Amino acid sequence: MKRKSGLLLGLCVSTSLSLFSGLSLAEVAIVVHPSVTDTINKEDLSRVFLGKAKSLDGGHKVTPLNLPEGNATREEFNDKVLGKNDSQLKSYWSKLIFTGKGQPPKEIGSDREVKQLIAADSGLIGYIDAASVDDSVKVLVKY
Amino acid sequence: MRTIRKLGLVGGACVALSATAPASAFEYEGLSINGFASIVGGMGSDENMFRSTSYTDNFEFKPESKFALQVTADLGSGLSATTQIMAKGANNFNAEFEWAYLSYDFTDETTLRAGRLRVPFYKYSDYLDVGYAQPFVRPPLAMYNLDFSTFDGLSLLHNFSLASFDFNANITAGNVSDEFFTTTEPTEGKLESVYGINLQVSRDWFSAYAAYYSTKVYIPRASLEQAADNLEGFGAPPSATSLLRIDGDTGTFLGFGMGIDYADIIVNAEYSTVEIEDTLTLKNAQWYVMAGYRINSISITPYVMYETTENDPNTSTAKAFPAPLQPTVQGAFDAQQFEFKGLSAGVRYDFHSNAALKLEYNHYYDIVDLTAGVGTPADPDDQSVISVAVDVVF
Repeated sequence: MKRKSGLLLGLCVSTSLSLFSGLSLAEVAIVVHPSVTDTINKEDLSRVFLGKAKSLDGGHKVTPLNLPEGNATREEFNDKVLGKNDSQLKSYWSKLIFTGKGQPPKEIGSDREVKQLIAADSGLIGYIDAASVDDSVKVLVKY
Repeated sequence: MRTIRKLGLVGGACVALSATAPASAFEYEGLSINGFASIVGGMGSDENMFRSTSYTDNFEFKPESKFALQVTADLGSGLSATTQIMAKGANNFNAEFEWAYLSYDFTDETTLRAGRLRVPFYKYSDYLDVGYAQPFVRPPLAMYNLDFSTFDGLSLLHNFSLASFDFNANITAGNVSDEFFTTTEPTEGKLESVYGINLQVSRDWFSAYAAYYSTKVYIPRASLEQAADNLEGFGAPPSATSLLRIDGDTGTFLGFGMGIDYADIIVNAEYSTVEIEDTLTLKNAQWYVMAGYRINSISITPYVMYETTENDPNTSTAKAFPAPLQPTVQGAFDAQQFEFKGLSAGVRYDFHSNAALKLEYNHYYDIVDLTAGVGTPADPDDQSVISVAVDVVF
């Protein structure tokens, strides 16, 4: 029985892949549809991405979009805006998911897809690498 | 069959570990599937452990391991349906519906849920089985001692903000049908008209809650019913034996808690009291405090914890009985005494963004558990438990 436990733990540990991809120093741009006139401060932005609030400072309703886990811009955003690492966020969302109180923001594959979705829908908010910004979206703020 | 189920459990956990799964493992046309699993192995210091522990002196994986899948169907316009199916080792990995409810968002702030839900007694009640979302292998035994967790009824959730604090109220009403006294004398019983509120407040690194529940308790424990019948045979009036029987008596729960997660220092403390008036049970009060420190560079969080549970003795009920029976009744109350303290140390290792490995050592002391035959008021016992867990979410 004890040997089995060792085996299992060994297996599980060996599957733990590199979590610590290098942090980039790039800026993160918070983007919305060009027609949006509201602004948002950092605290409220964090509340939107943690599912605690659903609108910008002027009352405009927004649904947040995430980038995939492991994405450098996402790590930058988590660190600078949410102040939490992926593990802490995973714990946070587990609490909400398994109590039926919420689902984390949808994960969108790339900056390009985030821009496409936001350009087509004024009810979305996302974050992308500041270097990816173009005319299709409006930058609310950069961190 | 059992072996197959067990293999499935282990296999599922490892599949989850090896994949860099997104927050929701599967999402299609408004259907979200999430899951979690804990594989917990543990061992106690004695063959006969006090009642709260799940272990003996053999290393076992079964008592606390579990595997669960949750499906949420977003039906649009604020309506959703959620089911959570869980297979617990303690229940031979037979799958059961732990949650099954419909949810309707009246507004962004107000949601009504109806169906089978969790009674949010404690800080971790709502996600009691989601080991990953907890800092320790299991919540402290002294505190998390109510052995039922789901109810059938309604839950109204309301969120609001006040001066930068986020408030979250959960008002519940319903009934519980379950097995009670599972560790001492498993008995099918019910709690009628469970009413209560859990109010949480949080801001940045601070969170706190207060909870109050009241209910009518019916649990016909065979040994207690027999004893009450015998006492009546010896001349005790039914009005007196009703003060022993758990026959529609008022149960109340009061709990408080607070948590801090600041600069990688984690502190949690909770306090609660449980009382079932006019029954052969003792009012108990318990609290714990845990502190941990997150060492981000190596993803390791060591923690320590102190916990305690105590009873109020009952010396008044026996006086309702005829004098010759009073010593017997008082003896029965005294035999209900169940107290202990615990000091624990553990470490959590977040070796994967979807999985954590935990090691924990619990030293329990000043144990008086007369029902289990561990310790006496004159000679309390001490026992310990060591456990290892892998918790995953996917």
